[in-house]
Amino acid sequence: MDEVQASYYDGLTARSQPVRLSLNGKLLTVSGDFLTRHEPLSSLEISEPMGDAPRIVRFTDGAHCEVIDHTAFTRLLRDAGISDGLVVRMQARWQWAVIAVLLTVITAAAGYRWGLPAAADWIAGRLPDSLLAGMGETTLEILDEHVFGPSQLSSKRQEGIVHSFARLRVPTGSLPAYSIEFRDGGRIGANAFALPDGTIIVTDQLAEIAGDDEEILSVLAHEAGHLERRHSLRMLIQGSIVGFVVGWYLGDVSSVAAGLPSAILQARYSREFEREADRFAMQMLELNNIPPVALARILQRMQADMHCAISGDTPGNPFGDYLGSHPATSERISTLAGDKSLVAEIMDSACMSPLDDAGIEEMMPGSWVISPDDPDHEYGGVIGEYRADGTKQTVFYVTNKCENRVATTQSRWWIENGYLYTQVETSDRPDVFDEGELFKDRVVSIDSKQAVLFSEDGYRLYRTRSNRCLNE
Amino acid sequence: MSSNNPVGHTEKLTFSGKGGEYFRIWIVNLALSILTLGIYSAWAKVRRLKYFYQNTRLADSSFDFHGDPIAILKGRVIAVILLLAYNFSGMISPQAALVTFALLVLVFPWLIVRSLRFKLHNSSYRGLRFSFRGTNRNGYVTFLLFPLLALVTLYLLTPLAHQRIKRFQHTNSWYGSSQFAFNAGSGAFFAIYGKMLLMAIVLIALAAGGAVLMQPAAFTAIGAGQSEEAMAQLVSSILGFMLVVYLLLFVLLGPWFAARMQNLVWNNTTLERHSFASNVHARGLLWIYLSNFIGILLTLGLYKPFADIRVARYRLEHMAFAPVGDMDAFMADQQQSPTATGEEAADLFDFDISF
Repeated sequence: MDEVQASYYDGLTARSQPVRLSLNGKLLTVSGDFLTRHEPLSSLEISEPMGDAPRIVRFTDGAHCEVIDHTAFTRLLRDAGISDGLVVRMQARWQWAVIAVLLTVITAAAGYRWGLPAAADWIAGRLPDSLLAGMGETTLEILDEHVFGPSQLSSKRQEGIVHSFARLRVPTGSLPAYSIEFRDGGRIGANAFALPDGTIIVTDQLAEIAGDDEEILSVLAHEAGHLERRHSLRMLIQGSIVGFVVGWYLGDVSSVAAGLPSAILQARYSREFEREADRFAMQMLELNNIPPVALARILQRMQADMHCAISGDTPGNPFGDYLGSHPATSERISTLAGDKSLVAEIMDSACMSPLDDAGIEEMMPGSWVISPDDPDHEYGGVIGEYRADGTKQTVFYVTNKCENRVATTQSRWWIENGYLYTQVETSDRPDVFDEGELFKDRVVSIDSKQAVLFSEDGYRLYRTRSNRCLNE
Repeated sequence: MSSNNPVGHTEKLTFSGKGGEYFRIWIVNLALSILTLGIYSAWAKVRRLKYFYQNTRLADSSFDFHGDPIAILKGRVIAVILLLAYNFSGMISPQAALVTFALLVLVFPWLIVRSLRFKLHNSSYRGLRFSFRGTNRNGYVTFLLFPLLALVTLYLLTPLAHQRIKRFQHTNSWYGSSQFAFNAGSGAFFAIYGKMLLMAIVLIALAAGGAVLMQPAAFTAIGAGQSEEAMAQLVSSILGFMLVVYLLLFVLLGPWFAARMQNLVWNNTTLERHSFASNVHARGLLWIYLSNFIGILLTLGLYKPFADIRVARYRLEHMAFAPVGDMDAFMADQQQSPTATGEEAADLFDFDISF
């Protein structure tokens, strides 16, 4: 029977004693100059092979042997019928290392692609509403402090939007609890956001650039899609998990190096969420007989608002679509419009050249009436005659009866910084129209036939060049 | 193999870990950890530590690690809960985050003491266990009071806090029935920090000088009060400059500091009459850190196990133990019977301070 050289330590002192190990049936015999032990194999704890490190045979009383002669010891173990564990055998072979690399990469990729969204979805669905409410409030407070201003839209206009949205039918039956808040968007401009607690923020600028109410409703439907799928919450959860995993994997390298991949990995989800919200909005709009192209139109307007004359998200940047948090607007518009020629039309119409005051002043003179597509059209006839000398006469009629004049006012008008100012000077019915009242409307567009104005209280006004009391 | 060393003889630490070998352990660990959603990571940590400990040899004997994966798992669960609590409280409100942060700060010293105990109780050499006997009270003084002191003095007392931490760790460590001692005063720590600060100032000045030479246009532009475009260009070049300086400081001064600190700490640590010696060179460590960093970046992290082995080898093989007389004379601590240690160990858990 072979003998294996080893060092013996009794566990009581640091003394090292040379011993020989040999197998004796089911017993391991340890023999040295001052000791002999016979231990049943089953009571021993034998360390896993760790490269050149000595193998360690541990006894129940705290004593142990260290063996350096690996070949002899392996032979002894084989004779004893002791084999390595599964993990040890895996660690010993390069084939397993390659398999482990592949397995790691595949699992990580699959986890990222399917596992993480599913996990975030699962967690998001189980967080208590009180937690969400707190999160939303905090976010809104921070935004109010740093970005937003109080809304300039009239409360009537705000309620109008809220009520029309509340009347829409929802593909999933009903929306999660939500509330719509209006704010002056400040430097954020035309935009809308959904916070985790169900608050949807709409900026005044969004209401201002919207061509009609359907466009505003389509944005609200998109935000409702974010709420319905709990996107902002899932985003937060996924962000925490991705940051945690990347930090754990690369943590020792550098926290700077770890931050960048997290940001890139997050961007993909964000684009996915936008597409998901668009799909929800499409369903909701179709259900209410609103063409989804309304969302396409306002998307283009929002983009034009940020960057006029650029028709792609980031032209010349091949990584734009991979790194961007939103899918390219053109891609979203194609999906929503479902028609390429329509896309071109939307792209062109949304980006209007800015109007200069002198240009407006030149176009303004003449008679204007309320257009058939104006929200106020049904209320009655109005003829406003703008004269080149800066005076204006406005005649109001009762609905459908041009001879039934109600009131006439004389005003002054002028253009300043793209706004049309009108101040009433005299009125023959002061009980209906106050003298001295000042109106300030932004001129959105004006040509030989039509003018589009945006009133201070948040309405889009359409005027047609005509002198008929009610333009049909 | 009895080691009756004559006075003045030193025993060098040797390390027999190999990159390729450890890579296989590491990647199998990683794959299993991912497949088990992180649960296996506790067993992975035990394997990793066993690999490093058992491959570290001193005077023909190996170190060993005995940690229970369950205890490590417990610690990881606690760490994840604390991390989640901190993250989520941040989402609720800044006040909630502040309260959670304060609570974390309060439990942290307790967790560190627990973790040190776990680490040393589960380490052995020649069949004798190490142990850590620092009290919670001193743990709070060391890991809370002194860092706070450093904070309120605008980091002027950081070297003192650092010295207190090392002193706390080393003077409360035992090998069997023998206690370690730590003789480095705070002066030596202040000296290292001071030198590092001086070097940082010189490096920043050199980098700033270089930047002015390379980008004269941008600087004349501010002189003349130039356009917005020039200002934007300047701001971006200043940001780039700061990033370069940060990396430069990190790359050059990091290894220097680590080398000086290891030498200071171990050259001033004794175990009864026996002493330690450490002569890590900043240049050697710099090369290892730098090449590791590049290797890890180029291989998307697959070089990590090789990098870990290189650092461990360099740091360990530049250390030696200088025993006075017979190394066999160390005794197990009789007051700590094996069963008592076992019971105490059941209350222990590992806590990764890196979290």
